[in-house]
Amino acid sequence: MDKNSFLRVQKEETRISANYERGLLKDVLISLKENKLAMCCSVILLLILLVAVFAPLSPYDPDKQELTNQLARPSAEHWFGTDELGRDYFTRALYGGRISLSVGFLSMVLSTVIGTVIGTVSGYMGGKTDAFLMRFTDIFMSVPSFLLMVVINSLFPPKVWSMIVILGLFEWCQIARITRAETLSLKERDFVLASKHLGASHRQIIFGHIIPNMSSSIIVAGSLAVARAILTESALSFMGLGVQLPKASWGTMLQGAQVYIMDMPSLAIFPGIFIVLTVFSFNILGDALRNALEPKMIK
Amino acid sequence: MGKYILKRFLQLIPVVILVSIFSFLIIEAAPGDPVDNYVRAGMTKEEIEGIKKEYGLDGNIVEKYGRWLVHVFQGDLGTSIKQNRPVAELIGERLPNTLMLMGSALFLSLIISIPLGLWAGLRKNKLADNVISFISYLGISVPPFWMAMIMVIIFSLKLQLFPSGGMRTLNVYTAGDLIWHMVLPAFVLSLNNMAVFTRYIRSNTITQLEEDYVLTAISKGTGKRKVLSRHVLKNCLLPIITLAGINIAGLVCGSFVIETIFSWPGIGRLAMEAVGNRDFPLIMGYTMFSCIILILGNLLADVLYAVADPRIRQGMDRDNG
Amino acid sequence: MKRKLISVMLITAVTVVMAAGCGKNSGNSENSDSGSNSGGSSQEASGEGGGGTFVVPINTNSVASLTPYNVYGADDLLMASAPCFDPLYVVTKDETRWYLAESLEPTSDDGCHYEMKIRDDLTWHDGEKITADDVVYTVNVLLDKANTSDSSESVTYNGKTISAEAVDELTVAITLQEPFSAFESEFGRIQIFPEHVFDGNTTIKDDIENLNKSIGSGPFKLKEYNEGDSIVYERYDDYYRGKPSLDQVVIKLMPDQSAQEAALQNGEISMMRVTNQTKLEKYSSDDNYTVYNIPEARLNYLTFNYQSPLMKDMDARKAICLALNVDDIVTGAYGSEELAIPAKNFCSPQNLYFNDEMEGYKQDIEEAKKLAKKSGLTERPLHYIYFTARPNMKETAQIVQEQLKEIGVTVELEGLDGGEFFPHLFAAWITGETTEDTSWDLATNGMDQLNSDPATKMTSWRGELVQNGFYVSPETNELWDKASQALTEEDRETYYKELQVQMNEDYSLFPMANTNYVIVARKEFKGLDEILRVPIFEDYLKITME
Repeated sequence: MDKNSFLRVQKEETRISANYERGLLKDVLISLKENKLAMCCSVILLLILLVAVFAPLSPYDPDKQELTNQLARPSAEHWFGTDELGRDYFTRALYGGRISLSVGFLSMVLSTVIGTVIGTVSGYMGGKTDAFLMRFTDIFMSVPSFLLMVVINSLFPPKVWSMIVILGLFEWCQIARITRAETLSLKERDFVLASKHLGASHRQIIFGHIIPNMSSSIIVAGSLAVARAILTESALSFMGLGVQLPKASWGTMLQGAQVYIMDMPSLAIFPGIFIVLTVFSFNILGDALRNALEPKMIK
Repeated sequence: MGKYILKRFLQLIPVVILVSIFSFLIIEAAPGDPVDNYVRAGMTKEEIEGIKKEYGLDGNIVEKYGRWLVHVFQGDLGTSIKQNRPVAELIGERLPNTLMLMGSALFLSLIISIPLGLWAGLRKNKLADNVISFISYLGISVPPFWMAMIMVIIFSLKLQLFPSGGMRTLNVYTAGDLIWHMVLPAFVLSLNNMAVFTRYIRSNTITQLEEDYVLTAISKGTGKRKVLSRHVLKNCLLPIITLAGINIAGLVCGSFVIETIFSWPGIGRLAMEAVGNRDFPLIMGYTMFSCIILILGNLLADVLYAVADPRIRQGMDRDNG
Repeated sequence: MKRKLISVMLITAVTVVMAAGCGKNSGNSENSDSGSNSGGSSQEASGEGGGGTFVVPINTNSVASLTPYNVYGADDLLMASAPCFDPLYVVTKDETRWYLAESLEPTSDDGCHYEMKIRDDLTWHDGEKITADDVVYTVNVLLDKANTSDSSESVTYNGKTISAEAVDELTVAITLQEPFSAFESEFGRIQIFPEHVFDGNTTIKDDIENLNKSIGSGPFKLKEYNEGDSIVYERYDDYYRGKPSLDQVVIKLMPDQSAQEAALQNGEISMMRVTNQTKLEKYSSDDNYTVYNIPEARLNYLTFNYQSPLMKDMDARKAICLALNVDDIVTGAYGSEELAIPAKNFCSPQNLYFNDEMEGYKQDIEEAKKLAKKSGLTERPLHYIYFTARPNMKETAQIVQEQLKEIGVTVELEGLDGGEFFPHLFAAWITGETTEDTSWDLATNGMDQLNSDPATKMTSWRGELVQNGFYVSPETNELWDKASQALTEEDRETYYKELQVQMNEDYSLFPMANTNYVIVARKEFKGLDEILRVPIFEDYLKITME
């Protein structure tokens, strides 16, 4: 067996006690310092976020066509080359990132809000409400959601906001389950019981005590949800069910690149790498956070 | 046991009905009138009404849904608008192809992830573990359709090892040929599950290895290999079965895209066509079918779990008794 | 315990695979016997006359009926049935090629009565003789509304149906309600069906079993149909025009472009269509492939929704026509002139009576800006719809969007799939009712020209119903009537040429491109260019493999 197991247990104990005093942000930072890969990923994410935010600084207009310079290979002038209408592919990838990231992030926010509300209410109220809401969640989980998204998007061509709403509406179940479980344990805790006896209303307890105390689990679930949403969005866009042209997300760019994949693989590789990097980073970060925050959650 | 299955089965009916209502509402809200598919210039009002009646397109939404539901219970999923054939027949023709692909993908993900997961768990935080973990993270982060495109280029066009698509070579009817065609699509389809299972088995192995009974066995001198196969693997497999059942959803969705890229004649491609043509009966039929596959997957997982684990079986018998 | 568990798993896996496998077998059992002993992929040649298997991809996931009773305007379905069902005859601008029929003569001066003779040596693939009754039966099937078939268009001219009657075993008398200039070319394209297979019943749409027996008249007969995957035809030895050289023709259902390309390079398919310059250049310079260029006579155009209040104003339509630069659109969205040439008017150069003196609209940004302001185009965004499955449409839409930006007009793009696009575009034409549909302003679409006479285009550009969607001026309407009912060639020519000028002056559409159907074939296949006509291939006898 592992000779170091005793030492390790000791180390984890010290960390748990240390966690007790530290704030959430500090926890995260310390755990990132310990996990090189997660550190790397957060730097990558930060970079992608920055270039997406500052995309307008690019000298090119993402929609401006240069019909005499179609499908140019990557060069000093056009770092990623140009697409089939002579648009600067690098700039389009940056603007594509804006759409992919905002769809991923905002739909996560939406699903997290819905999931948290349903989960906490269900866990806190218990009894029939709980039974009903959890049954509802179960039903929602057995819905073939991707298929319904395909149907909805093809019947109602999506805008950016409708994409966000649709993704958000289908992704909240997991979060509802997690928050419900958390609530069940939190509501028996002393400080909740105390404030209840002091006459706090249900709303105050839920929003003042329960939800703030599950923030770490919500953050973890959230970062995994962003990853999922970006992947789902890219799959929908790839099937031609994404936001309308000339706007493009990374998934839309991949769809456009598909025809040229054997002639200009770079058109498919660049947006693909952006997607993989982003989703990969969110996944790693989510798990790293879970490991870092778990002691606090268990406690 | 039988009672338990029956009980679980009955619980599923309301789920299926709710999903059907939900899908029906979405389709009903879609722009465009399906009857336009049958109307030709020069038809009179009466003729159009007749067509509406014939295809069950008359009346309000409650009537339409009611009629659809009654027909479904009689085993009639309606008639495809574009193909003018019974939906059940169309799906039935292609369902085996999709199930075959999904089954192979599931099988592939199991036989690859089990050794990988055990190995990673055994070598926790060592190089092998880090590499395997890294790859499994990649596995859940790569868009399957992108992976598929790259696999076709590398393994089909550059290396010429596998065909780029289709289900069999013309005029060849052997199982080997079928498997040869299935390798690439099944592999891409299995990636996500492979990654999820590997991570699960890894963490489970780590926990198991620290359990008292494992420590006892090792202290008694049982070899590590034996411990792994006898105790650790056994205790990992149970949850994996459940996980596989739950992940059927991923397979159903994945097959949608993978079938198109690999020209696989399954129900995913049929559904894509149906969506493009606004072939509502076929869309409804496909939605219900996927929903049922998904739910049955979960149910099957639960039942297998129960069969394999006597503790749960006893618990169930108590519940029913 | 462990063993039990693993066996449970294995059994499940095996059951799934077995169930799947068995299902598959039972689906094909009737065909698999005949197929298993005749090998021959596209690589190997066998038998007399060269042999070989020619594999054609089509862009659809399903073929509803192998017997082509509902294929009007559906190129993929026409391609799928071409090897198995011959046309009666084919009229082009330059010649008439006779297939099942051997002559067509007018029997009166009023342009309403004709007699067609079919050949004496024709047999269906089941050995029965093909007679005049089969032709009459086919016309009646197409006329039978219960089939809800689009192909009724091929026996309904300008809203008036025709009737057919057998005079003797090989002669059919056809009666029109009014003269129609495109009758000869339109009628010849009909693929006839065997009366005896359907027991003379004209309502055939539910007779799936017989429809999919696909008893046809062409050089290849059905061998097996693999649902959702491929249609395999084999040589029909008793074909009336001699034995085909190829052993098999396979229609592969493969809508994904990159899948097609991969399959072509692997030799899994024999040819594919290319629609952009990059691929054209790539394959032109590759010795393993031959590129064939078929003038498609298709017109891709931009049209205005006459229901939309803005588009009722001729100034608005004119502003858009003057703002666009057709050369840039064609080079940008299609590539070189091998793929498409700028269109000048609603007829293509392959049409009879094409007015080659017309020059199309000239770009005039300043004038366009003025007109756009005047007509209020700049005040709200225009909604532009296009059909995503058609090649080059996505690119065209984005270029138009950029060009209209120049005159201060904003355009919102919406790509639709066929199920939604066509009901918008042809709402009135489809339902036969006045519908108010103001959800779009601009649309691009393509008009095929299988037929050399412009009158086939009437369905889109003439009549009160159409006016609900497209703009048709009273002068245009009148010229359509005059031209399509004229009895002499000279009159037709005068009126059709006038009509082209008139539609130009109405600003009723913006002609964009006359496309070429460019195909790349593996070099071992020859003769693909013997007949340059779409949908491919009119005559499979011409195709050989070396």
